[in-house]
Amino acid sequence: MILSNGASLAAIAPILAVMITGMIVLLGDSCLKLWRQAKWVSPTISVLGLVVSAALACSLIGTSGQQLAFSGALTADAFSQACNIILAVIAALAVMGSATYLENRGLQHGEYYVLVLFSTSGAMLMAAASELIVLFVAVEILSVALYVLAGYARTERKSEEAALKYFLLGAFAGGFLLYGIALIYGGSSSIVPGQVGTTNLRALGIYLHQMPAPNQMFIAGTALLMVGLAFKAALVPFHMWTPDVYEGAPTSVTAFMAAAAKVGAFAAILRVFNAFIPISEYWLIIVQVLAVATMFGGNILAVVQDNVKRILAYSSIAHAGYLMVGISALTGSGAATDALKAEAHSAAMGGITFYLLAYGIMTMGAFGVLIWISRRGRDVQTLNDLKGLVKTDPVAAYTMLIFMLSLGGIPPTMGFMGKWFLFYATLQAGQLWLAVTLALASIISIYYYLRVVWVMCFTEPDENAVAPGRAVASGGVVVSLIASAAATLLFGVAPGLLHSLMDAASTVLRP
Amino acid sequence: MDTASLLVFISLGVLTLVPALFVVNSRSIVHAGFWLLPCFLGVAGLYAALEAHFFFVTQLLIYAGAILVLVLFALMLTRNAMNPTESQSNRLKPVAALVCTAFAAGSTFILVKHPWAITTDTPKPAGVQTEALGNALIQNYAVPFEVASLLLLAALIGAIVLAKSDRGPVPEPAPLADLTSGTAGGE
Amino acid sequence: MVPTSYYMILSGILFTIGVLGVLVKRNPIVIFMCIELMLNAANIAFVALGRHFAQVNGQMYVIFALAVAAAEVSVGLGIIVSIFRTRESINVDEMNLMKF
Repeated sequence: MILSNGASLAAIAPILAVMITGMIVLLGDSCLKLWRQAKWVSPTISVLGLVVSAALACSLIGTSGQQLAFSGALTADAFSQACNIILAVIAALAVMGSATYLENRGLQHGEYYVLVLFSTSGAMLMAAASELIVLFVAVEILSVALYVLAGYARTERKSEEAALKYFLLGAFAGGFLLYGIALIYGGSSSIVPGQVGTTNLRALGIYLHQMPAPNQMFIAGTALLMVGLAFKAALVPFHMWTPDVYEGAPTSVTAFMAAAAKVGAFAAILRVFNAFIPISEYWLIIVQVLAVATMFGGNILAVVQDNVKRILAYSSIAHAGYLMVGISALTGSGAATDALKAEAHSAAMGGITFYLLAYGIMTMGAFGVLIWISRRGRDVQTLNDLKGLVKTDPVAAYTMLIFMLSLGGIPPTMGFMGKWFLFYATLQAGQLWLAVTLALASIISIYYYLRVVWVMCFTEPDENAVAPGRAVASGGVVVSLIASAAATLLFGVAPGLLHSLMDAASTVLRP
Repeated sequence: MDTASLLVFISLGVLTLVPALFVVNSRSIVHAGFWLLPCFLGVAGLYAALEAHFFFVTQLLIYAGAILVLVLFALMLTRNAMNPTESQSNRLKPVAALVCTAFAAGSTFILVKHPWAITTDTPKPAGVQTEALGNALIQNYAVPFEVASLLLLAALIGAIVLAKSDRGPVPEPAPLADLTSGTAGGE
Repeated sequence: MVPTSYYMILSGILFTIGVLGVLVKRNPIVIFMCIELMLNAANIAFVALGRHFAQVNGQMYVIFALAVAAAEVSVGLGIIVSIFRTRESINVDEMNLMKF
């Protein structure tokens, strides 16, 4: 169903709300002196805007089926609304955590929140993009804002270096993305009636379904597009930038980057490959190889790290691998009948949506704990800094325990349920070996998550590590931690509460 | 295909690709920056040959004008950043060259083999083309157009954040004598 | 007129030169120039294909690619120059504060 322009605006209201909030914060911070002086105004307005956006998305998710907005440039369907909710939640948690962190480091400025809101809207647009060129521009909005945020602590060498690495690799990936789109545009003419080109994913999905015979130019374009998106989602072997950038960027930015950029990239990957399911025999094996390499590469490299931010960076790579397993399950390649294939597809859609939310919340939580421990002015980075945390800061240690168990996929947490849904979808798709690989990789990952727990609980605190300076106001990060810890446990025990979200997302049908 | 247009194409192709190779192969970063100019001019010429008049002008203004000038500014600001006589390339060079040659050969093979449909359509005159472009921009492509404006706004704010000097001390600028001894070496 | 495939081959070669440059160069500004070569290659392909299909789409994509290139150049060069202010060297290879 193609919406009129007015209805299209209503359908993308959650995205507009985030953009408008960004502009309000930008104007308020630069024009009103009182606004600028009261440090809490910008983060509060940002969180309010994000809550409005999430509420709008919640109200729209039930009514939006397969809507095309703005003559097919955007898809305002239930999956895009689900991603809007996930991204608004992530951004709200990030803003609350950032307020504490920035105050602590003397970096509290209004522009920070503007950039966070703009990159959130970029990620939301990535999830909604149906025209590949919209996808490209949306990727760049997300990335450009993140390059600046990564270098936000400008006087620190590490932060600057992170910004430079992220920028060079990101722009390189952007080149691949654009050339891939060009080749898809050229190669699509043999399947589109009238021998013209198109880059509309919905149209391509329909034409590929009618005639699943892409030419080589089209396949080459898809491959380049995949390389570009794999860079953005940090899949092995395109992950080299991740640990350095995650370590160098300010912790609050790392948290946001790890969660939002990955959700945006995966929403885009899902959109592209969902449209290309009719030609899955060309890409399925590559996706599976990437999934296995990413799961094992991320988990094995995480084992040898000593810096908590790097451990979490490699763990985020591994989580991207689990999500790729979900992408592979979308095809239902091993399912016997069409009905079973459709069932596997909707199970995978629901599983990926749940996992994106779970990943976002537990990542924000784990980084949030690091921010909270740093509230006395010491930037916590290494495992050494966490030694004996259970004695010096028991609440922080137990909160971290929840997120580590969740990231490791141990019940009764959200991370476990997410993995279970992906595992189930993979079994439904008849890809037994991939499901087994997923389970094996998660077992490796438990080792380094438990290592963090062990360091916190069973070692003596480092004498010179304790620096009880005056704690800054940390209300924001406390709220964000309580919210994410509660969500991790609640949805781990009762994932049924999110059924409406998963069901809505799984209505995005096979083309 | 008449010989004249083929000759024009070949000369424009040489004007684009040879400077591009020099950009990659040049030892001095300033020379690399200047080699970018003929390359961009060659691309502009290709647009003219393709009768995309609007983009001929845009390429001159944006790439050969704005972007190149910004790149040269950045080069001048970081001019004595490194010793120009040391190699500009890392150890990957032979491997990367091999991989890229294979990549180029592969893509050429695909493009030659591609079943190109024959177009009989002659391009419309410049005014009509630009009008169609403008119409598409506010109709089918209104969303990417608006989204691109958000991108430019984000980049603007980002550049200001990076350039603001109220966070931490700005180091003293290098004395002029240092600048003159900067990048004297050449190829 | 010259066949579209000639333009596409030219753009493929230009793209490859750009990729090669990104892989082998050490100075971030030169790497950035090579990325611009990659974007230009894509633009040539878009214009050539748009003409081949007699569609306005091809040229449309170039407009957005130009906007993206402009945004990237401002942020990217801002990062590079601000790094140079706090340190003398900007070689990518020498940036090993953070090890593998």
